[in-house]
Amino acid sequence: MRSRGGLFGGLMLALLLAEMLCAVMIGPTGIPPAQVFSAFGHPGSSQVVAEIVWQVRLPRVIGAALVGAALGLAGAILQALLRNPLADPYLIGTSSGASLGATIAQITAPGLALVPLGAFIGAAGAALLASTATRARGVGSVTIVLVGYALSVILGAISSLLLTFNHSALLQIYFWFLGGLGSVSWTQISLLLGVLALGLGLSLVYRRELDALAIGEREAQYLGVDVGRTRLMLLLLAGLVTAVAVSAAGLIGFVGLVAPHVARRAAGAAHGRTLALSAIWGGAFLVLADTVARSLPVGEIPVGIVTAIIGGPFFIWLLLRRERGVAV
Amino acid sequence: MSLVARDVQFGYGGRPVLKGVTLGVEQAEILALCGPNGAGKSTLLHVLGGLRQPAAGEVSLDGSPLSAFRPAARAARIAVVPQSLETAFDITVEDLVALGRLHRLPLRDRLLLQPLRGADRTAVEEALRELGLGALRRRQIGQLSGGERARALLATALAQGADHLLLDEPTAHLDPAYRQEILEILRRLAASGKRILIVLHDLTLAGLYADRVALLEGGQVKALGSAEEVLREDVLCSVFHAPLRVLRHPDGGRPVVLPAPTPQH
Repeated sequence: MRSRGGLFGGLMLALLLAEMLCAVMIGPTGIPPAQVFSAFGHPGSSQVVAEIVWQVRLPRVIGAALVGAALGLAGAILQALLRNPLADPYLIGTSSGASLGATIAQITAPGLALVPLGAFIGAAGAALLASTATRARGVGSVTIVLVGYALSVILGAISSLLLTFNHSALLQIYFWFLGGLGSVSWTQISLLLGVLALGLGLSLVYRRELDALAIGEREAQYLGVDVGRTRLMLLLLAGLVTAVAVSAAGLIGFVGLVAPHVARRAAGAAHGRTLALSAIWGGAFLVLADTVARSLPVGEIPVGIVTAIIGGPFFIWLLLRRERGVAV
Repeated sequence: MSLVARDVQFGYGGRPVLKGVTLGVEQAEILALCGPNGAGKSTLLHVLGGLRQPAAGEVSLDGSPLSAFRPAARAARIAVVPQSLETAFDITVEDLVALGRLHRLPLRDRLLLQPLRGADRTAVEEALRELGLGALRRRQIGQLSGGERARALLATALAQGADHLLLDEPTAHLDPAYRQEILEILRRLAASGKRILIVLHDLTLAGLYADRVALLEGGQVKALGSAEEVLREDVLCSVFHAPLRVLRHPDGGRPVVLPAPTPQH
């Protein structure tokens, strides 16, 4: 069973890498695979193709994969903690919390480079708020999503309010919000990679606790889980992973919703299998969405538009199915 | 010794639910907790399970206050079976039962992401076998019948390896055949030495299977003793405030409780 699961995960990872390779080939200048491979061997080369590959395409494609993976993983963790398959860091306010935290950091201490820290505090705080507000037994999953959405709107409004009175910060933050994957740097990629490795590793160590918490806090407690501590730790982890994703690429919705669903469809709901698969699918989804976003004949559009156009209807479909009582 | 409640009081937001309950679960017995709706049965179960702290009085396990036990140490001694499982995510029977071992997984195995092995693997296999779930192990919980799901929940508690089993109306949603099946399994477990406390609405089932019955009303124990001592017409009528008749079961003479409807013309 374990080896079969590992094989499946490996296959998915290989597919993701193949997709990333295709994404590197696609762009205003099409680059055939042979030239991509030869450019891989010459990172410092001043050849035009090598420069395009190393300075434009690769950071963007790897950035998309890592941001998507981070959002997919955060979605999987948040869905378990909120006992709700409709949770997504963007939909329940975690991403808005990250932006608000970043805005406050930019306004109160410009130049101190506290924006990522602010984003983390904001994201973790919002995740805590959403999960605590909906913690009571018997709160329906649709209610949880509505509360989270309201939280997201409130936090977004506070960010807008702050920016209205701080024109100096407006431009920087607005640019940062929009983000997109065009501006991901190699430094951000290494940060994303580190945080993603930490997030995936730690959540995998706690995969059975996540299984138990997804059933219910009471059940988890009876199974011997230190619910208060474990829940807090995992919420902070989801906040951290979301914050680096938002810091790198701005607000991108629905990746954290779609990826865990596809992962569960493929491998069942046990977190030992879904966590890594959610990250892989999240990466694959965002690489695809970003390639579409930058390949349209009308010119490049923000990737969040593409994920919303794909993910939004999916969310509505899930919601309606759930209303009819079909398990999702 | 073992799990004992002494003069336990508990309330929700100032509304008292338990008003001084003293109760202990003996080795190799089934103790049925019965009483009208709102008597405090489920609340008492959660206080005994350590989920809720008594406002006054004490719950102790082997003489030490239960609140002093860490969650994992408590789970090693007390397993609680919920009435039903309402999970947003489907999980296979095998993965669910494996959660019973969660409280004792070694740190090294956790960090190395090891699958269950050794004694943990054996405990899960034994629990699956004991409850006849071998063929259903790869099934999703959502695809099970009510009776199969109740057995899966019981198997999870069994895999926990605790000597105390607390069950919150495990038979509430089951048809008569499944009810009987679950209680037969519990009797077997009690015979092997487990201490079993079960909240039961069905007084006849309590009469047939419980070694002792505790009748709870208004947050107090109104009667505690053998089924014959407790399930008497005068006691039941005063606790349930309803006309009830007690007959003898044709096989073995255990008490059988029947409603006594007002005669129709």
